[in-house]
Amino acid sequence: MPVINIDGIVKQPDGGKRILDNVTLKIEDRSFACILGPPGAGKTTLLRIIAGLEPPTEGTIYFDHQDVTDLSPQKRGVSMVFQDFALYPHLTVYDNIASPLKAVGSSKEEMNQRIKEVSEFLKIADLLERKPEQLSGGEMQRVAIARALAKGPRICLFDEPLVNLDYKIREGMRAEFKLMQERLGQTIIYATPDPVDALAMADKVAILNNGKVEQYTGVDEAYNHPATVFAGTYLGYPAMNVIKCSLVEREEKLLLDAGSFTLDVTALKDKLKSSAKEIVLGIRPEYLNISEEPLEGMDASFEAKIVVGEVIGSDTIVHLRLGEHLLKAFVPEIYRARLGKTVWISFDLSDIHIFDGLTSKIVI
Amino acid sequence: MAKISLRHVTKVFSGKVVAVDDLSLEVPDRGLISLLGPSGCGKTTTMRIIAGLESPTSGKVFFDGEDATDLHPRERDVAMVFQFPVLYPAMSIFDNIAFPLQARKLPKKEIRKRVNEVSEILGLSDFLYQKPKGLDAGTRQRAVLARAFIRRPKVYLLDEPLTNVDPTTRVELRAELKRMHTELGQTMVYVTHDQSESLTLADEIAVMDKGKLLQYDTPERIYESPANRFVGWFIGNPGMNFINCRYQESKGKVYLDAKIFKQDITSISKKIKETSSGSDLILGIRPEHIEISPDKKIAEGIKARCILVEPVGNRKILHLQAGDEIIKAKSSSKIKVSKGDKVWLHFSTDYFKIFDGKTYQSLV
Repeated sequence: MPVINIDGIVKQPDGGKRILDNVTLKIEDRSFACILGPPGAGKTTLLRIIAGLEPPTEGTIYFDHQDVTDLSPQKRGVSMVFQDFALYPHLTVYDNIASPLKAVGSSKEEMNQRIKEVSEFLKIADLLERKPEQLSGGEMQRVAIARALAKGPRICLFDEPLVNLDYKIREGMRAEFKLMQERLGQTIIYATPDPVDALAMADKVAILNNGKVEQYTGVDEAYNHPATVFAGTYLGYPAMNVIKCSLVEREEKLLLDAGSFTLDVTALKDKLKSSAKEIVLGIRPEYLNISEEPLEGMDASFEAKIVVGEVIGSDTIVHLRLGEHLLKAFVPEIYRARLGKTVWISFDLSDIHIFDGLTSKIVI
Repeated sequence: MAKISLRHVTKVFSGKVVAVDDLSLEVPDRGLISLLGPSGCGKTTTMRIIAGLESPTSGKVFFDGEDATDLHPRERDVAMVFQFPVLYPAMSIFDNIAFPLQARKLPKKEIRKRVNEVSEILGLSDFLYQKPKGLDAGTRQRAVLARAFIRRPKVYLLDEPLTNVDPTTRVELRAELKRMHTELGQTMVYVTHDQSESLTLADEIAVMDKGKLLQYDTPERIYESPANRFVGWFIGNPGMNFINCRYQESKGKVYLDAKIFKQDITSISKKIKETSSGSDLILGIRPEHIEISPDKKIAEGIKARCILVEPVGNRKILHLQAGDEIIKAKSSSKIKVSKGDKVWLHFSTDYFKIFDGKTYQSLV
């Protein structure tokens, strides 16, 4: 049974442009959904509308088929953790977590039990007597999350909760978030600009761009079958390579003409039958293989020049120039290459995506 | 062009907070070094001391062998770029970039030439006649970088310049910065909390924690041979796994005894015995050096259960429970292991890093 139904939500301030444009999402009970998009996509506005902090201009929000669009935030049973969370500086960690429980009149025993549970889970059980000023940024963030979870809401909304934390703390918290949600069985909606958050934690991801949902599906599905150019490039790190091409027929062959190179796609002829002529070729960096000689058994090989190689521990991102195009290849090992060196990049046709050049929508 | 030396630099704020603790460091001429560490480690303070914005409580700063400790920031000829891009809102991007040259009253033709050059490299050519307002954070940060580069100062100091840029643009800008440095060959100090930026950009990385310099070395050495436990954890995505062990001698052989396994380490035992403070040891092993299989391959195989799978695009991070330990392994995205599965872990002693159980310093 879907717990949250977001149906045709529009947010348009008087005379302004649409912040949210007909957003429709079904979020299953006890699932982890990510709203992914760049700054200004409308992520925070959408969360605020779900929480009841802002009314939509059009559209309806249902919780378990019940229309809650006009319900006050207090009556929705939703808790929200913001990017700039605030703790009460004069209260201990325990009292900070307890404050929403006190507000609803929980008994002391009940409160102790809840706080014990969430604080052990979030590894802050040793910090309960401290004041916020004695905590690190990561610890404060855990306390804010504990406070949101302690009152046991069915739905938790998180607005970029990790964005102000050090990279290293973020890395550890992703796994914690995921385990916490599985243990406590809440429905989580998590807004973030970081594709790694979505890839690591979400069951489903809604990719939001300029107030519109570009794609909403399972994370693996979105990664393997992007619906639009934007969805393909945004969900991925490093981003998918995209090249504008024209589809041309020449001597019974079907070719993608990218200016400085042409790719024979005759094998995909049936699938491209009704495609537009102007298209966008997409290929993820990990599907580009780099070698000294053209690789046998691959569908396509091109010569390219190495622009720069970035070794990240055990992996390498190689930036290459192919004619006027700049491409990135992900090599899962340490690859040291001389700048300006000519290499071969090879790939299979089964690993490419083709998008309509005009609508940006997926063709194959 | 400049070589920078810091000798025994200490900075104490309000008489008690030690921000930088006896730090000595050489930045070679034309080198690109990175100051890396978590929030509050003293990296920004160190950079500000190099810039002359803070004076050290004790210790000296040298530029090209000359004492610059008391030199005014303006006399040091350094350009700085901060996390938040600061541009003059009333001026076009062109004028913002040209500003330092206009202030020096360079001929108009020369200014135009240099602005065009740097804008080309940083992909700003299309934005030159726009005002900063309305441009995204990435473009604004590019303009700030262009303004810093156009001056051609002796030293560039960059303080988390990519932190507030969206993740996709960050990868692009990182590669561009690396290219700019290769082309311009000027001395750069790059401050960040993101280890992947340091690993990809820097010739040498200075890892800091709590005001202290823990290791100053090439990215390869830092990654492969961390000087202590903190460096091993901080570098890598995810960082090194650590397993508490004991040094045990029996029948002429030496074993590394952890609860979950026992490994013969006779071949490397001499050095451990000579340098360790006691028999408590910590085994460090990188996630990519753990092999996972459905059956036991070698006697030392460790039985584990998969508790979480974090798919991160082209890789999978598996969280594995073995006894009381949680071990993270990095594998190909094609691996077929799901949550709850029982697996065997194998690791080769070739990749073992052994740290002292008390001092956390590297032994082997």
